[in-house]
Amino acid sequence: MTEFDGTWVVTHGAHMAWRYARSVQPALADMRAALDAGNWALCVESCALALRAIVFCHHVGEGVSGSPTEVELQLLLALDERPAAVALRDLPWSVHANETDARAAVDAVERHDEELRAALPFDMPVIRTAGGYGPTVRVTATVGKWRADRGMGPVSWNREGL
Amino acid sequence: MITRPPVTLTSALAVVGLTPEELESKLGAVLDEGEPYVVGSLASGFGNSASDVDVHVLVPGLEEPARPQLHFAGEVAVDVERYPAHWPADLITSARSAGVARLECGDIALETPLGSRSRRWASRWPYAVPVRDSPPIFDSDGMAALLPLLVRAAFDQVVMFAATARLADAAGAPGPARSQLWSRAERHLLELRCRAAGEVTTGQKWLPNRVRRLELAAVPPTGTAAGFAVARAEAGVPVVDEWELVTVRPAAGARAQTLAGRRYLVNRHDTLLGEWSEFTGTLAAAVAQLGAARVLAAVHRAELDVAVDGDAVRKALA
Repeated sequence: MTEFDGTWVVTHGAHMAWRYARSVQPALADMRAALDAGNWALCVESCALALRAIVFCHHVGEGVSGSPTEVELQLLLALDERPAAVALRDLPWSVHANETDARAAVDAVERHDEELRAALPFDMPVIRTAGGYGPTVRVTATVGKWRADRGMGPVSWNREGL
Repeated sequence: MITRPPVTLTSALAVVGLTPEELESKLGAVLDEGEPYVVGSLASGFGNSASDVDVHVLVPGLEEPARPQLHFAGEVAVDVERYPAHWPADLITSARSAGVARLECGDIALETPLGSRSRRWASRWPYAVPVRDSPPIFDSDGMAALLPLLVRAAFDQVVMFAATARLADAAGAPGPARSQLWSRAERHLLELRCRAAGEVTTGQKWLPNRVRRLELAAVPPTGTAAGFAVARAEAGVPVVDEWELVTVRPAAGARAQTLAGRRYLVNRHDTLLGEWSEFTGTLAAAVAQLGAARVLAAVHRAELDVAVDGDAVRKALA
């Protein structure tokens, strides 16, 4: 039974979906490209970036707005006890990673990505693709309308990287 | 000295299945605005099928960077950014104004005349590949002037993360957290070694490829203060007291507000904090006054920020 609070969806939930599109989607694309290319070290590095973005996405869904400083982000990742953060800390040393390491890291990312996506209120289109612009505009316009229906102003989307 | 990898426009674009003619045909008039260059991972000799093409155009008459534009060549994303044509020369002039210390790890700038945004360009333009018949953005003298600044930026990160890991140790943070932070500091040492050896590619995910290209011996991080000290000595990086080189100050973007008679600090993430410190001073002094656990919590919750004190670093290195 899927159920979301409407106000959460058009506030923290919308920002969470946006952060997912901005930070998780590109890391997943990099991870899969590195795996296909057999670049195991790069694959593990991309897995680290994906897990970092997944952990931060959860925080955005809990109401964290804006962007952290680099030190703040590293403290957050180091001290966080959620499973995705533990998986990040458990990744192997990328420089010497082999295929087994890389595939295990990809499995971990896919597990935590699936868990995160189940918590997202909607799927944001893959924004950095040729066909992604139109659907993204439509989704953000819908969020804006829903907010207006609830007496809220326009969304200030965070366009910064992580 | 920064060494350019043997990358041509054709070889860079081939990684994502494009040709120079396709790029020309897609961007057309944008490229006519000035001197266009491919920068980023493809220009650095890395990249893969998921990479974007990053194009910087140096435009005469422009005084501020123009808003970036996203184009597509087929399914390949092409990011175009326009910069004032005089900026590279300005960067080199700034770089030459910095004093340099000769350390075992290499030359390091004593001042940091470039802001973080400028450093981003400074580390991308050395490998820029001309789209047309333009000269390299920096000549060899310019590259030589830039390198100490890029090493210094890496050194500052080493200082920052060693200071943070020491803080976590002193605060009695959980073992995995402390290990993660010391590993981060060790990673920044590796970044410094790459830069000092003339490899300045941006993008943290490329670090292993850079290590491999340089054939550096890189042992896995130990995640401990002792391991960091060994790695620092092997890298030829001087011992400094990181807590004296890092300052603590009220967090950027935070403001005190009153709600129904109660005072809160609203931090930059829109979290209301019921009690807070406005400490300003060195990290060493903050720990002495507030205690390590309190300082760690304050940085963690964006109540206080930490930053490397450029003047203190200069004095420590000079």
